[in-house]
Parts: sequence; structure tokens; C-alpha cells
Amino acid sequence: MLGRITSADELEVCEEVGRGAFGVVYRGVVKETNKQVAIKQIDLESDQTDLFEINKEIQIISECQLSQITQYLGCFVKRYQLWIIMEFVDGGSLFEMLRPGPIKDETVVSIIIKEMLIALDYLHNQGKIHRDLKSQNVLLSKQGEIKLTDFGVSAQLSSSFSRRNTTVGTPYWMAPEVILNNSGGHSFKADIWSLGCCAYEVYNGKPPLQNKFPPMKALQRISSCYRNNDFIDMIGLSELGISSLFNDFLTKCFIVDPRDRYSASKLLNHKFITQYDKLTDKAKKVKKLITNKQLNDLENHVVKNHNFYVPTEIVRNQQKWNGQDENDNRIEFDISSIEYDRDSLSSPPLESPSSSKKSMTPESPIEKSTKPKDSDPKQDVLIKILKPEFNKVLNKSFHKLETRNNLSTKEYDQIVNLNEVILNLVSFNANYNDDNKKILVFQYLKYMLKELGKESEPESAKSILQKLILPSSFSKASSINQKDEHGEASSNYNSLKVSKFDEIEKSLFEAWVNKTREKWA
Amino acid sequence: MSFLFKRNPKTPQEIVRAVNESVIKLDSSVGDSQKKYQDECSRYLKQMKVILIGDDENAPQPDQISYLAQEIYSTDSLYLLIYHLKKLDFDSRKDVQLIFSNLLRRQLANKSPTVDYIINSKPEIILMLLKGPETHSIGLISGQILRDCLKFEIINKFILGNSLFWNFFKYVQIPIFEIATDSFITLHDLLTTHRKLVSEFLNNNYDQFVININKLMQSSNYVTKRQSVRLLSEIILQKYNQNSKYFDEATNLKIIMLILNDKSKNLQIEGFQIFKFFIAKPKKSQKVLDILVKNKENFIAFFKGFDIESYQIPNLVEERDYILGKIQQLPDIERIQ
Repeated sequence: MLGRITSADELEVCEEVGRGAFGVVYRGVVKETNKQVAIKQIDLESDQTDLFEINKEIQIISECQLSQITQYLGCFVKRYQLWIIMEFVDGGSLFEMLRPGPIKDETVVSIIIKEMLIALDYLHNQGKIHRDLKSQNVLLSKQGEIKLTDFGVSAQLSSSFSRRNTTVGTPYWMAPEVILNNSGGHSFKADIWSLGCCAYEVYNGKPPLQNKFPPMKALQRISSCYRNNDFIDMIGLSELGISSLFNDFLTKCFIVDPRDRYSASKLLNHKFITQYDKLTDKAKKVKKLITNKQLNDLENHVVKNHNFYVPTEIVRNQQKWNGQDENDNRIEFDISSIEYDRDSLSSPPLESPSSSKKSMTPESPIEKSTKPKDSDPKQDVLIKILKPEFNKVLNKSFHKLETRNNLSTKEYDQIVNLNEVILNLVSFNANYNDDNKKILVFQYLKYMLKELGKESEPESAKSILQKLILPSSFSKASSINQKDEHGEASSNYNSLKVSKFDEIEKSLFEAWVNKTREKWA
Repeated sequence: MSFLFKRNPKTPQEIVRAVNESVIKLDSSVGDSQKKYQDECSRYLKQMKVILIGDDENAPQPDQISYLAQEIYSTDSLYLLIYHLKKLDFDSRKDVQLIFSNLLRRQLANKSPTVDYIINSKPEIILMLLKGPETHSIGLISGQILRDCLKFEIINKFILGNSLFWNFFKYVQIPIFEIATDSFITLHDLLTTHRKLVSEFLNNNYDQFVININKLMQSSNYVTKRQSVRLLSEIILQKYNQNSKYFDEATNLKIIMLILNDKSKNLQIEGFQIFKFFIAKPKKSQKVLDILVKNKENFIAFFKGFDIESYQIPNLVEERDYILGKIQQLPDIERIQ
């Protein structure tokens, strides 16, 4: 598989290109190759998502390799989100192509429908069903290719009847047996019905019945079709002014009994499709659609609002999804001093972040707090260069901490203060303009960390660390532990004695120590 | 597909033999000649598919299917195909899967001759499939075939009895998302499809299972964590497994408390589905009771704020209130200051 993407680090996330019930789609660029990709982010924490369902859908898309289907490039989990990376198709959707007006050239309709049929034939041969065929899910590339997209994840997830109803527009593409839930629900012939609706839509500008009925009413009308001519009469196919071949093609798509409805492979041999097989300028005709759309957008000042990807938005959404009071639930259980590696978890247990503070996160708290020093005339050139650099380091660490932990206002201020102290210590302040002092500070830091992480005296070093990190659980833990061990609490127990770790606690704690040591090595 | 028949008329037996020959040649060939044999395999596999499930023009013929199946068993064709799975081209692998599961479903006198064949003659097929997640390109296909196989209790039993089964606790942590989740689905199916079998298995392998699932529940990966908690709660929900000593061990309770303490609401809820059994169990072990008593106030505070009304999970609110009541009945302890 070419260019598999396995982590968010490989990507630059750009503007939003679409939005569905289950997440947002962004345009992205692979840093290494400069190749464009589509990034679909699905929120795994929202309450309707079923992981097993999503897994099944990813299997389906990962099993498709065909130039008429958008290619799957990989997926991974980032915090509470699943990122699915797909080929980016740069021309826009068929739906957008209809903005300047319906496509009255039957040649073009046939070209588009043929590519869709090839994709459907491929899917159906593998026992896969698209389930949500409509013009929004057909994409055009600037090279003139036509590609099906958005089957799998979104289609399957929105396939339950109730959810479909909420998606305005989709009912118009539904086959009668899907609405009635006959013959065990969806068969692949339902896709053919939808394909017919798409062809109609391309020529007419709107799917059948959309001009006549609201979605629910349309559903009723479609489901009331029993004879083959019912639907065709209802949508007024004979008054559409199309060629007899196109008319016949649509008639084959709108056969009410799915068993008699034509299959994709049979429709590929239909004269409406085959008559243009020898055409050489197919791609050119498709490209022209894109140009038309772009011109039309320009004339009508259709401006796309570019919503750019903001990583912190996830954090905020997370809060929103969990409800504002979510953090009030966070009780620190006393599990005999068990604590876990804060770094290795995506959600460290810090208490009650104040959301008002979060939303006004200043760009650079350090810059602010150190501003007065900028005016200090004694600063030399070197410091002028280094200071912003070091500021960057501090700011970066601060933001990392801030995004990973929902800092409370107090914690936030404390860290800002700490940063200021550090900044002073390393003597970008004129008062400490002595190289030796700088070195001393760093040496001290180094020794301290070394001492804390020392292997040779694990007991003492660890017990100090444990107390430093877990002061709150210390006293309770040791008292109860003593009680457990000796049956009765000894009143004058050595307050320095730390409760013994059990197996998990030990491994968790060791992981923390090791990680910290690695970081400072 | 019918044009193939006209140009290249072959009986089911001949097709099977032809695919066997081509597939073996994949071993020694590279480059263009390998491509040639891949194409041959692809063509024959499509012919097999048509015989088994038919196409637009041809309905499947029972006698043809029977000839095909007989030949596949007697020449160990399934074994050859699975053995060479990664050498076949992308779409052919999916055809192998379709053919395999179709044969599995085929019944003679209420029995699947394919299952009999696999268990009695070529269990190596299952062993190969069990190692599927180790090869990225065929991981998903092997997973699908394996899950079709384990629908049959006798195969499920065979897998649980083999040490390769435990590898799945490693496979679910493979960094490639699809492979990891596919392995999870397989693991899930292996442990939830045939309940009585699984219950027996868990009784005999309790320690190893708990060590493994506990490890997964402490993963730093949100998906691994959520799926493993979910799996455990599903296993516990089966009534055969509810008297397990799992609920007597303090370690298990601690891990579940960590899950309750997670920021993810979904994890909290999944954790609660297990936690409730610790509380509801009439006779609690001393260690478990100690932890519960020690945390009584924490639990009360937690469950008072455990806001789950919007999740619409049946009985969840009632269960929460019941558990809260039970916790309030726990004895208080005197804290030593």
C-alpha cells in the first residue's frame, strides 16, 4: 500500500472541507511528500459511536482498491478521536457541479454514470453495498476522474432508519424496499435505484420528487410504488425531454422488485452507457464541469468559509460532549496510594479546570510576564537573541502541559509563576548576568533529578519521590496499610515509612520514574 | 464471467487442480512470471466463485458445487490457498475469503463437511489463520475467515485449546489500527460466541486470562482500554461467569476503579458495568471490602455526580441508584490522623 499514514505527526491539517453527523473532514498535507489527503475525524467519545461498527466499516474501505473509489490511506487514534485518512479529490462533489445548473448534456451524464457503475460493480462483486449513493458522495478530480466516496463509515453509521430521516435530502435517493425494510433490508440492488436517482438528479438538478414533496412525504410516496410504472409516472419521466436510451436506462434502474432490477454489470452493457465508449475527450468534459462551477462560484461570490483545524478545539469539544460538570465527577479514589503514570494517559487526573479561564488562554503567558524586562537597557545582544528562543521553549512546554491537563486557574497561575522564576534563574535577567550562576542552576537541576531517579538506593529515592508526587495519599495510605498488616494501627508509626507497593502500583510507579529519567537523560 | 467458460471450458475438478498448480508456482517465481501466476490464480478463483454462488446468467448448480467441494478437500486446496494467501493479488485474497466462507456454510445432513475436513484432516489451516495478524497484508482477510470458522463450536474449541490463542492479547496492541481492531473482534468472538465452552475455558485458565485482560485495561490507548473493558463486561454478563473469583481480588477492583476515574464518560460507564458486580456480590472478600469501605465517601461523591441520564442505556440509572444505596450501607471507618 503506498504512503500509509500511521500518525498525526506525519500530517499538516488544513481547512475544513466537510462536516457530518460523526465528525469533521479536513484537508491535510502529508509533510514528507506534500501530497494532499482528506482527514476524517470521528469522535469516539460521542455517545452513539459503537467501536465495533466503526471497525467493520474501516475494514470495508480498506478493502477497496479501485481508481473509481477514493483510496484509503490509513487510520489511527489520537486521544478520543479516530482519524481516517483518505485520498483527497480536489475538484469538488457532483452536487457542487450542479450549482451552476443541471447538466443537460446526456453524454456527460453517461460518462459520470459509467464510472459510478464501475465502482458499484466492484463493490457488489465483493458483497459490499454503498447504501448512501447521492451526488454529495460522488467526487470529481481536476484530472477529470470520477470517484465514489463516503461509503462505509458514514453510510453505515447513518443507515439506521431514524438517523436517515434526520439527514435532509437523503430519502429522495432511497429504494422502496429500503424504506419498507423488505427482503432483509438493503440488498445491493438498492444502490442501483439510488444510482438512477443520481442520474436523474444530474440531468434535472434535483433528485426525483424533491420539488414536489418534503422528505417524509416523499418516503411515503416512494414506498407506495408497487408496479414498475408507478414511480416513473410519479416523477414524470416522459415529460423530462430525455432521449429514449436514457429513458430506458432509468426505467431499468427504477424496477420496483429488486430481483428484477438490473445489476451494475448488466447496466454497464446498456446502450446508454456503451454508446459513448469510444469518446476520447471524456476527461475534458468532466474538467469543464469543474471550471463551470468555479466560474459560477466567482460570479455569485460563493465564498467558502475556511474553518481551520485548531487542535485545542478537541479539548473544548471534549468538555462540551462530556457536559460542563463532567469534571466534578472526578473523585480521587484512595487505592492504597495507587497512582498512575500521568504522562502515559491522555487524561491526567487534575481537578476542576475553570472553563472561563481556558477559553481565554493567552497566546503567550511568558511573553506577557516578562515584558517589562525587555525595556532593560543593559541586555546584551546575545541575550536578545536567546531570550525569545528560551521563551519559546517555556511557552511550548507550558502549552503542552496546558492542553494535556485541564489546568485550573490556580494551577495555571502557578505554572506561569514557575516559568517566570525559571526564566529569572537562567539569568536572562540583567541582575544575574554571570555565566557561573547559570551553570550552577542547571547543574543543580541535573543532580537533583539524578538523585531522585537513582537506581542504587531504590527504596529511599523512590520513597522520597513518592512522597513528593503523592503527598495527599501518603498519610492515609500508610496508616491503613499498617492497619492491614498488623491487624491494629500502631499509634507512633514512623511517618517516613511508606506503604509497600503492590505489584501494579510498583510497575506503574516504576514506569513513571523511568519515563522521567529518560526525558532528562 | 461466462466468456471464460466458452473460451476455456473446464470442469470443477479441473479448475481446482489448475488453481492448485498455479498457486504452488507462486512460491518459486518472481516479477513478471509471478504476476502471470497471480493472474492465473485470479482467473481460476473467479471461476470457482461463479460455480459456488453463480452470477447474473448462471445460477449455482448443486452437483457442480459438490464436485468442486470434493476436489477442494481431496487436494487440500484450502490449505494451499491460505498458505499462499499473501502471494495472491489484492482482489484474489478476497475471493479466497468468499470461497472459504461459502464452503463453510455448505451443509450435508446438518453438518458442515468443510468443518469436518478442517478439524480431522488439516487443522494446520486454522493455525495459519491464527498467525494472520502478524502479516499486515493478509491480517484482515485471515481475521474474517477465522471468524467464519469459529462460528462452529468445534473449531472455536480447537482454537481455545491452542497456545496461539493467547497471542491475540498481543495482536490487539499492534500499532496498525485496522489489524489491532480486527484482532479485537476476533478475540471478542472467540470469547463470546459459544458461552458454555468459553465459561469452561475461563474456569480452567482463569489466572492467565485475568492477567492478560487486566494488562489491556491499563493500556494508554483509549481504544484498547475501552474495548477490553467492554469485552470483560460482556463476558461477566454471561451468567456462567458471574461466580468467578474475579470479584474477590483487590487488584481487579483497583483496575476497575482506575477506569471509573478515567475522564472518558464511555469508559466510566463501561467500568460501572463491571464495578456493580463487586458491590452487588453478597459475600465479598475481606480485601475487596477493605477497599470499598476505605473509599466509601469517594464512591458516594462519585456516584452522586455520575450523570448518565442522557446515555439511554436500559436500567443504568436504576442500577446506579441501587449501587449508591449499597455503598451507603457500607460501614464507616475511623480515620487515623
